[in-house]
Amino acid sequence: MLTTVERVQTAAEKALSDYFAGTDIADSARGAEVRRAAMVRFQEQGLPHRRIEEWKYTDLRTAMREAPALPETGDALAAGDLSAYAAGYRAVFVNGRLDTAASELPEAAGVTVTSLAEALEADAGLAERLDGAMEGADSPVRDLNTAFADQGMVIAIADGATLDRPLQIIHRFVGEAPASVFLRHALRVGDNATATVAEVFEGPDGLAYHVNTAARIDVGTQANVTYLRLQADGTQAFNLATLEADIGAGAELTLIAASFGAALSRVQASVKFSGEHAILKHGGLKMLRGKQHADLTMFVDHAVPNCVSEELEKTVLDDAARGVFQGKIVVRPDAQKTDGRMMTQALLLSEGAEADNKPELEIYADDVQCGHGATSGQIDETLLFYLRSRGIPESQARSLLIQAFAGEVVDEIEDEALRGIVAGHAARWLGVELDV
Amino acid sequence: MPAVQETIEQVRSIDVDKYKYGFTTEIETEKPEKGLSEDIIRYISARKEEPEWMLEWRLDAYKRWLTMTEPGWAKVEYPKIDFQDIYYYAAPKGQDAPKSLDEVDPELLLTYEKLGIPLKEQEVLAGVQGARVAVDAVFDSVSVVTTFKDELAKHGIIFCSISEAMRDHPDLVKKYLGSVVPVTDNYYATLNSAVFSDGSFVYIPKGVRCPMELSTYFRINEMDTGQFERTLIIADEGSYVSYLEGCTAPMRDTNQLHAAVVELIALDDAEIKYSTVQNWYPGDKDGKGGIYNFVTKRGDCRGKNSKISWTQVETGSAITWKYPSCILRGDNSRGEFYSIAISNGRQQIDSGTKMVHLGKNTSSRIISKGIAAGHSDNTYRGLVSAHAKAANARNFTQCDSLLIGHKCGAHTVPYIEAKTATAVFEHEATTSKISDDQMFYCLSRGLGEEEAVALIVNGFVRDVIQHLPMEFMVETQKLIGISLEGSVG
Repeated sequence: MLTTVERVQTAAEKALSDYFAGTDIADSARGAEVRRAAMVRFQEQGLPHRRIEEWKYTDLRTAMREAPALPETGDALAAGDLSAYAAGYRAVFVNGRLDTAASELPEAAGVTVTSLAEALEADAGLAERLDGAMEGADSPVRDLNTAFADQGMVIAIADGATLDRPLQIIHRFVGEAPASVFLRHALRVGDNATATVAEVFEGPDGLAYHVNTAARIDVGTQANVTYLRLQADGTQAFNLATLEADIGAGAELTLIAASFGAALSRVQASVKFSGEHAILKHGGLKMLRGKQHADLTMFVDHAVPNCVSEELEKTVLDDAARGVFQGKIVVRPDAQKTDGRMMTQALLLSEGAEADNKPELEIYADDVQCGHGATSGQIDETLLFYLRSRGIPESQARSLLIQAFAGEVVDEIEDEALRGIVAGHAARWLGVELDV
Repeated sequence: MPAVQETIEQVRSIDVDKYKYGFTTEIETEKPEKGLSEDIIRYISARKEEPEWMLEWRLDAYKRWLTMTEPGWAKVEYPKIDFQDIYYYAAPKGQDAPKSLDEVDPELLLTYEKLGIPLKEQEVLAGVQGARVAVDAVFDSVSVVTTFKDELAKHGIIFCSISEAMRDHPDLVKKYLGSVVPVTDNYYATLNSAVFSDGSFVYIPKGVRCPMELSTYFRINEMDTGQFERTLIIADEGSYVSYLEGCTAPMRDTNQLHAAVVELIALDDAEIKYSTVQNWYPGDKDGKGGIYNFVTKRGDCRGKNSKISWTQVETGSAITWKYPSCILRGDNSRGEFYSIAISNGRQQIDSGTKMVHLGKNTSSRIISKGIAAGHSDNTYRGLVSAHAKAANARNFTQCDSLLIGHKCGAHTVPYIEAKTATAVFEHEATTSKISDDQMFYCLSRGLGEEEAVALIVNGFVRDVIQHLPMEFMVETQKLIGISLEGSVG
């Protein structure tokens, strides 16, 4: 006996539907049809909840009680101090709008940085590429992004070109009124090209603003790309992200996601190998306290032979924080000689903390080397004893051990300035002075 | 290692028909009409002369089952089961309550003889000297004979079919039945609660170490029947029991459903060791026929310092859906899970365990070895969780998968949930194939390809095999060879 229950819209779902109805998308550059279709999909499914396997540990329907309105379209707000990001190029978004005055965009040959609206007008194929979700990336959260996002950066690096300094896309939330911000970025790196791009998220503590971003990364043959995501949002913020990456033959992608802020954050990443002999290195770091909840869900698709993927996820949890890692490596029938390794480690500093790990392997090719490991526990007492026996006070010894634990991910960031920024966040989290 | 030699010989001796238990027994059977209804449940209950409360229990389960939907999360695919096209009860005629072995139909005795199961007490399992095993033989829906009952009774041990237990020990059954796997636990457990026919009941009194291995041998014989057995094992304070379970079925073109529920309860300082060699008919090489093995097995370490250990060898069944679990409720309790799952042909296995840490200082260990060959899919799915009050919980998990051939799949889906900082969890998983070096080495020593594979695989699963009781060790090593027959070349 099957009883179909009419789904009741939650307050947040209803609000989002209303905002969409209120937006004027007729003259928008992106296909109105695609956006409406995405909204219909969202309305059918609603916010994801724990009965959906991929959202088992992050029940968005329960957590997202309300959805703040879209940002005001009045005068632009000031970005504030950006000196920490002086070393690289900057694309600064204040409450979801590009602040051209505060930005410093690269103008080198072979490097094109345009706003989403301009890029869509210039490149007819872009809309399609952005709207079709890769396997493992599709979700109602992405649908919301497709429906709402009309701002973002489109970065194209020509074949053989090099982005001489890292480009930092800085998302800053300012002011006292919460809002829902939606952004869509795209990075296309040509054959034999090199680029480092960082997404940074910041905002005031105590303000319940929402950020929903989606980024699409295309890595060309033999290209070398580092993509960093530093989430240091305010303590009451929601940060939901979709990351999609396609790696060409012989290319190397380093993907780093560090999460320190937000009441609730989730990164849903999907990476596909579309050419042989490519390498994916993923480093994830979460440092959370209070009642923070951070989720990293990753899908690695070994669709072709001879590729290597390495994932390392480190989670430090204090108070009643909750860290979630779900990683899935799929090795397709033809993807022989795949080398896939996934490691997730959680360090629980308090009784009330919770770490949920779900590393998955789905393997259809026989000549592969795949493995995953997962550990969770508190600080190793023997290590602590060793340090204390050398005269280091307990609190200092603890923070040293945590720094070392987190450092394994931080050290994967090649660019010195960016590494310093992330290390600074880790140090501030621990409450220690950093001498770099 | 002589056992390895035996595997090799076994592989060599088999030419065409690799499932040697596929015969049928010609015996007159009584069965009510196909399909599931309240009437069938009343019929089963009446046939078994059950007390009124038991019938109520079944009917309640049936009503709840009607409101449930089939689970679809497991990584297995099969056509929808028509629950109205199954016989829910089948009993060999006149075998309802044989008093002694002499009353049992000789045809049945012959069946068990062919299967190598000793039903005469002076006999022992083939090949193992001096080991005595008490057997409860279940044929379709009824238990036909239970051996060594008198000797076990001297120690106060109750070992009988669950139907008998309901008549003779209703208090124990009433107290423990459904206390580990609640009626509404899951779709198939609820179905089982409504229509379960027979199974074994074991009660080990305080401080008693069971003097012999207890075992149940399940045999499905009739066509289109489902087997819904129910096993309940209670180890009272300070007791110990080792229990073995074996199963086979004839070769048929249609799929048959086997939905069992096994409940284990270990009180203070008690230990239960439960071993299974599951060798239901796996279907032919094209995936036609075979048993759907949808089983709920759960042990409750209810008392302090109790221990439950599951060891399973899964080689049969078209589809396996089974997660023998441990609820570590008592402080200092321990759960273990050792598994070998071999899939070949078109078999699909989705199996693993759950270790739920509730008490303080609880520990668990999971060793799982999955081997996939042919066109099969082999999934390990497991949960390790520590609740907020489970201080100092420890788990070690190792799951290794071996792929033989490139048309099969091996998957690992672990869930690791730590809700307390003092819990220490370690999980490790690898997937690989038999390396060319290993093969080359064996071939250069004059072994044939299949011999080499059997040798390497036996090495791969050794960690688990050593946890099997002696009686099963030899059989398992043979079985591994047979299961992988035809997987190379």
